[in-house]
Amino acid sequence: MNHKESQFLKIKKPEIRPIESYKKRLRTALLLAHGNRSKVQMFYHIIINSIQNMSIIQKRTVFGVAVLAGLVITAGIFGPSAASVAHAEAQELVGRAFARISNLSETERAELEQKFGERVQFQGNGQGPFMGMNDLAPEEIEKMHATIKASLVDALAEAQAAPDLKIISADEMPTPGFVGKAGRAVGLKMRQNQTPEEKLANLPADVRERIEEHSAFREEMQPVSFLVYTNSNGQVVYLGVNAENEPVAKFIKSENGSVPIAPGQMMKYKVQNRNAQ
Amino acid sequence: MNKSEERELIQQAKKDPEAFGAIFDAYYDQIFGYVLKRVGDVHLSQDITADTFFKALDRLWQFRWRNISILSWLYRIATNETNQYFRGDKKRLYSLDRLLEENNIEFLGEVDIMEEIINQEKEMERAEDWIKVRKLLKNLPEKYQEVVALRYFEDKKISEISEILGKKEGTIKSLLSRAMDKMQL
Repeated sequence: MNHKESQFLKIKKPEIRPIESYKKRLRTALLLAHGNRSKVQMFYHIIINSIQNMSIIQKRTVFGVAVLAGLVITAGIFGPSAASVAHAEAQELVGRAFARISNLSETERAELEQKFGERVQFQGNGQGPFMGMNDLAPEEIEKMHATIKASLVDALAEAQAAPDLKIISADEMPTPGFVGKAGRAVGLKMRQNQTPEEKLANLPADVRERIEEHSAFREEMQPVSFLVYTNSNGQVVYLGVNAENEPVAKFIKSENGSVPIAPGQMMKYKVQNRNAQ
Repeated sequence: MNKSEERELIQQAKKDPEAFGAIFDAYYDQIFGYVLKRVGDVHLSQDITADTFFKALDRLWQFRWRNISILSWLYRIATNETNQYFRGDKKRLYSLDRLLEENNIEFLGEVDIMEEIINQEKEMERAEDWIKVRKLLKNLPEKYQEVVALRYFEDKKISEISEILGKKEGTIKSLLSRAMDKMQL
């Protein structure tokens, strides 16, 4: 200890006189004022105090639960909605389909284009059966082909542009509207191998061969999922995509009968419908 | 009050603020004395001390027992409150008058309180050495003021100052040494 320090240690300091009256009042006021404070704050303090007294494992558990709850709440508020997730998934499928058809050779693509065109079906009105290109008069086919986007690229581009685009699996596909000729043509929901093995073995070889070819074709063109959207005419479109991400079928369902069929063809459709009844 | 009693009392006070009354009774004089020796005004020291205890009670839930008396923690709050006053923040949140007014508490008679204040002021006038040192101290930066006040006004050991201010003992020694160089008695 140096001289200067000892000098400082020796300084005469003021004594603290008893201030009991003031102290007593302050004590009462302090405790009363604190007691009047928000119960919520007290509750908060008790919670924090309890956390402080927890073991590290308990704290980690509490922290983990709090983080999880925070994430759930944040995801609920800021996260994508189910609709937007479905839309994004559907857009991803459209992207894969575009990539798939662009990777096909010219021949493969032309072949697929033809098969797809044959499997584009549209509905005259909400109750009527579906029609295909083969049901149209030759002079109407080209016009109709463009109108209903019956080519691979046009069909995918239309799906891509639809704001309500989503995916459903083949099992979720509504069946009532897809019965009849069109339904049978695409083999949708058609029961496979209805003929028992024995019966098939007894059939003539050429028939068996045709059946086997048809089975292979049906398998290749079997949609595993459908891109569902509303087109610019307000019609609900189901664009079937197979396991290889190739568009293989398209159904245009008109809820209000406004399917874009040329007047002449509408007459043909009506006659067919009447004859069927 | 020994350490285990104090620890128990703090735990109790965290749940029941009434138990804080015992802590207030035990340490009010020391904290008031420290603030008074730094500030040199009885009224103001009473207000700063009231602030100190109110904040301590309010933040008691944050206090974690580390085998160090709560007095060190009270000293630290009082140091911060005093520094704040010297920095120019004259607004006192919890003066007795304000606490009484806000909570509709009325005590009869002010004579005893006034008498206590006058007695204390007279006592301060007699402490000439302290008045001189306090004047010198006022011209030093805050970091020197707090170590000098704790060491020479409160007679705290270096280890105790280290606990109060949360600084290393070496730092305290160095601050004291530099403060000595800057002050000439």
